[in-house]
Amino acid sequence: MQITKEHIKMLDIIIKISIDNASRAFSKAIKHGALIELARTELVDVSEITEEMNNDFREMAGAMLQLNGALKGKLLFMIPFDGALVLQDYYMCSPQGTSTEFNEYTEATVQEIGNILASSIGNSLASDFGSTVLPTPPQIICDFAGTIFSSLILEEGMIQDKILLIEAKFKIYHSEIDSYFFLLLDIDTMEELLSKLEQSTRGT
Amino acid sequence: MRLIVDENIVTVGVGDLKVAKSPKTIKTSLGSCIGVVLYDNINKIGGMLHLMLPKRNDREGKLSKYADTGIPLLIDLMVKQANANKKLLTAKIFGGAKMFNINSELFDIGKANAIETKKILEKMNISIIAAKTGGTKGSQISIDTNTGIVRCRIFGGQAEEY
Repeated sequence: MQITKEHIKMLDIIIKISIDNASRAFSKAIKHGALIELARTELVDVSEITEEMNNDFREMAGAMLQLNGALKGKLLFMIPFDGALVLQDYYMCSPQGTSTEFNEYTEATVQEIGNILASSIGNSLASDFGSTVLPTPPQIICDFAGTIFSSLILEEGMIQDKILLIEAKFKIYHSEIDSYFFLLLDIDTMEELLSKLEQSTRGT
Repeated sequence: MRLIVDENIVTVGVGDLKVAKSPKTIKTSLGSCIGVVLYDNINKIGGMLHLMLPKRNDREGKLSKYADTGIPLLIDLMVKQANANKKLLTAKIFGGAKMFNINSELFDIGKANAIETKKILEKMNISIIAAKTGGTKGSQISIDTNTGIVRCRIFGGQAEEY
């Protein structure tokens, strides 16, 4: 069995709904208008996607966690250091410009945002697939963008040349923050769940 | 994604390799992977391999992911396609950090990558004239094919030249 184009289309719809839910949860957490938009859901070549990412030489803070249960995968929320300080001020309801130094509070903010996104997306996917999705606590990694991203895809990239990757863009209103959000899904468990969903849809 | 388009910069992804001639710069970001940089200083030809694992064994997948198949492949491409002189090639190696990983079995893959890389280069009679491996942080490397100088910046530190 392989992930087909039909599978990708189904997944795209499901993920969009999950991202919408995550968008609301994120806005609520930072008490500020924000939007998360799905940029792509596709099978990508490991070397090509990491080549793109290696063009970003910025230093970043990333919250990475694993999804366990019937749906397996990993999630990464990654933001440049200066963006993390802006996010921290929103999250702490401090005037913008209050946080000036990247410290354990900034790390905790990034970690918590990762947690909120994972819970929101995990719940949404669990509901759509009728399965359990159990996120692990997020771990913080501070490093170059390309290095953090490589850590996300390393295990899967060792086994296969293509990975099933979902990328979303964040927009926080009235700010220039850009950040990355990736959901890396295990192809085998995803293919099984999508096939079950397809069958149940045909049966109704 | 943020993409910087510069014709003279060639970026290498994970499990991939690139060869370029002067005046191009080849670059990549490393974690537990090893970056192998080969250079022919007379013909000014550089090659960079971003390898993920020490040995291919029975695995399928691109040869450039592994030290034991990727390094010979890089040399082959540099010699046969770019007309580099194998006898002039020297090597510099970077990366192999002990990175954070969710899977603890991969926790020290960097060290295994570095050991196998040195072994293969020795077997291919290519001298390692510089090495900066290990640590716990990522690094960014770039080779200027005009000079052969590799700039390496480890996260949290300043760039150094090798």
